[in-house]
Amino acid sequence: MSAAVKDTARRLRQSMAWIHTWLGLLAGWILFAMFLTGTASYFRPEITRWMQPEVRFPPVSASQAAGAAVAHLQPAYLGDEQWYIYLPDDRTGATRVFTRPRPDPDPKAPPAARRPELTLDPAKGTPVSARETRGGEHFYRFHFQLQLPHPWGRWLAGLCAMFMLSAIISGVITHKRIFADFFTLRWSKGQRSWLDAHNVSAVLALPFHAMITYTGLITLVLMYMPWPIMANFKVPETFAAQAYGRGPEDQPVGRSAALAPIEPIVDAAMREWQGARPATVIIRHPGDGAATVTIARGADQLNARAAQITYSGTTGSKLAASPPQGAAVTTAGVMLGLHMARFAGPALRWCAFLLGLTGAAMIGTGLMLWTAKRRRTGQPQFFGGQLVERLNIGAVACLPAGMAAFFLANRLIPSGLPGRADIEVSAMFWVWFGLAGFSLLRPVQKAWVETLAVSAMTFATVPVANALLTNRGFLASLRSGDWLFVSFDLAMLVIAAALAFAAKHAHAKRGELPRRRSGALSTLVSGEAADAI
Amino acid sequence: MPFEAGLYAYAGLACLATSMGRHRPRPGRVPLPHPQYARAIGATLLALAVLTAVRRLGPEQGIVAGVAQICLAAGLLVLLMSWRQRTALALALPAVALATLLAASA
Amino acid sequence: MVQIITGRGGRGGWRITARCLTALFGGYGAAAALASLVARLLPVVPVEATVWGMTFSFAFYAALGLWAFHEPRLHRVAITLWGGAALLAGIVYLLGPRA
Repeated sequence: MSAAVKDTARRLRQSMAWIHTWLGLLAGWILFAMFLTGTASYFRPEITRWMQPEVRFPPVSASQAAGAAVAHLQPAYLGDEQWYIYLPDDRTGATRVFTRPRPDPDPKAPPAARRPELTLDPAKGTPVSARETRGGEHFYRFHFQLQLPHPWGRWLAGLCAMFMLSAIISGVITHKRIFADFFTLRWSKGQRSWLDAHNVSAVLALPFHAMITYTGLITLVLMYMPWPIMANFKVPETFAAQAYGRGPEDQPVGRSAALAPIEPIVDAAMREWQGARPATVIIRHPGDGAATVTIARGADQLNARAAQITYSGTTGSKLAASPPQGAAVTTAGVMLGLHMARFAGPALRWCAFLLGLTGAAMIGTGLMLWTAKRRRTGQPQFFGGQLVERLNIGAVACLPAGMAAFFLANRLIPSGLPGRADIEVSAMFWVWFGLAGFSLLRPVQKAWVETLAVSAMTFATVPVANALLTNRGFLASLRSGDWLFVSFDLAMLVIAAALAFAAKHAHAKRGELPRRRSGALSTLVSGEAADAI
Repeated sequence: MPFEAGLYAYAGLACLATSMGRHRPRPGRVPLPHPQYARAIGATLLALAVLTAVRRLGPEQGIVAGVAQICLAAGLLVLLMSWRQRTALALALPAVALATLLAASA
Repeated sequence: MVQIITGRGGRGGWRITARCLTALFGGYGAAAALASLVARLLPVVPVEATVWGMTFSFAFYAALGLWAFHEPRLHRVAITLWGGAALLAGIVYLLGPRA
């Protein structure tokens, strides 16, 4: 390599090291929360099932569930504009239905209020009364909306994802010895350890980090980057119609006609998909002569843009199927599928969950590294350093307590209390920010130990509350072979143990002076910094 | 459970670690392959990891699952190596045996 | 080098502020315009070209944003990103939609 090329490479590494540090720092706390709640969202239906312990049904076939749901909807909701039926599968416990009445033809009439979701017994079709909760949907929504008003939460999440993407790229450029440092992890060496942990968690799971960040941006690409659509289409709806087969809304003819039996239609769709399970049944204009039944395929493939087949609602004959997708639409669909991992079986799902935790660990250790690098032994810290340290505590150590509090609130709040779903959500934020506020009153080292210990204890309390307040405690679940509840309790205990270990470690470090390698504080500009960040 | 890909990956990565000067343990009772052979064996085992996942889950999901399990196996190996280096590397042998057993019975 | 970017050498914070705003908004504009131009010019059916453009847009944005902090001369960053955004958007506008 000539000297000029070497110099360019060195300059590039320096500028990338600098921007990597600041991108990571500015977005780190939000990204940590997005990773942690997003990781929990891999188990979105499972969390919802855990949070509605009353809902418990044996599995039924797709056509049986569809038939039972339609039989329940037939008399009361005939004449609606649309029934949207989510069929139960081996991950969700019950049939969920959203019905929408036909809009009032009078344009001056106020829009009808949205009807509440119906939860139905999959076999009988009768409504289920269960405690009101957001369930796994809460973590899922939070991880890209951040509990902010629409659309600001999504924009902020997108900005943080862009920071993450840029931080990944600049981090890879900065990190000169990726393969040499591949297996290096040294404990209890202060800054050196945080650097090792940051490198290891980042490099080992790099394919996952890059994938999850880029595909996350793709999930909301229509909002973040709609401009290419306008470059090609006069009417943006044309794009949606051509890309996803979303046709213009069909109109009712006004002549009433009986709805064809639903079971044969579902079976016909399953035959076309070689037995793959349908996920949703969408019935438009039930009871009208122009009724249609659209069956959407379940997420058993990488591509999340599921195939759909539309049948006539009166004769049951096939009307249309979603068009074959081109290379670009398929690529985008696969990216979507990779992000949400709905195709994944239990083993791969757990892998994705652990990789998500690796992502949170990468961000957490990066944040710790920032403070470890700038800590001067025996001197009061400068304001920025203190601020970062406090925010690290608030994000890394306090958010887990909030998430556990969400579960705990689900068991503690009476199941019939009006508005209890919102109280559960508030419980998470009160505990999270409350604990973070409390930690401000304590010295930094003590604050780490205490907040981590509180988080550990909150998680450990969840299985206890579950055992005392439901009849689906650990032993009962073990006896009845209810693996969802058994795994949930075990997961809570493992997380509690990990947090307790962290608290113990933080406690052991008390008094020990943070070790630093020799050299001035501002190593940022030196050549050493380029491969040390 | 389809974890043989991860077990092969663990063994493969352990071989790669053995081939690197700074991670190569001092000679002991277990004979170590020459660094060059260790690298070749490691690469073969990693390829085997992806292949077993593809055989079980098909090309699309197999590659995803294979890469995911390689990442996780690397994380586990590094954690174990930071705690008990020799044991962590020696576990490669039972990992290969168990993976082969699982792959054969699948 | 880093001092050049942060402006620590002298005339204070406005340079780094301008650089950040240029990277954030100018970079977005340039990436959006580039993605739109790619979508408009790719010789495949409009739907496919549109989706390719959208899919790669974030890679453009990340690359442009990082470059904005690598190039020491602020005026070059500003001219490239703001000017590039305007120029490419202008070309897309003049070409007009395909469908």
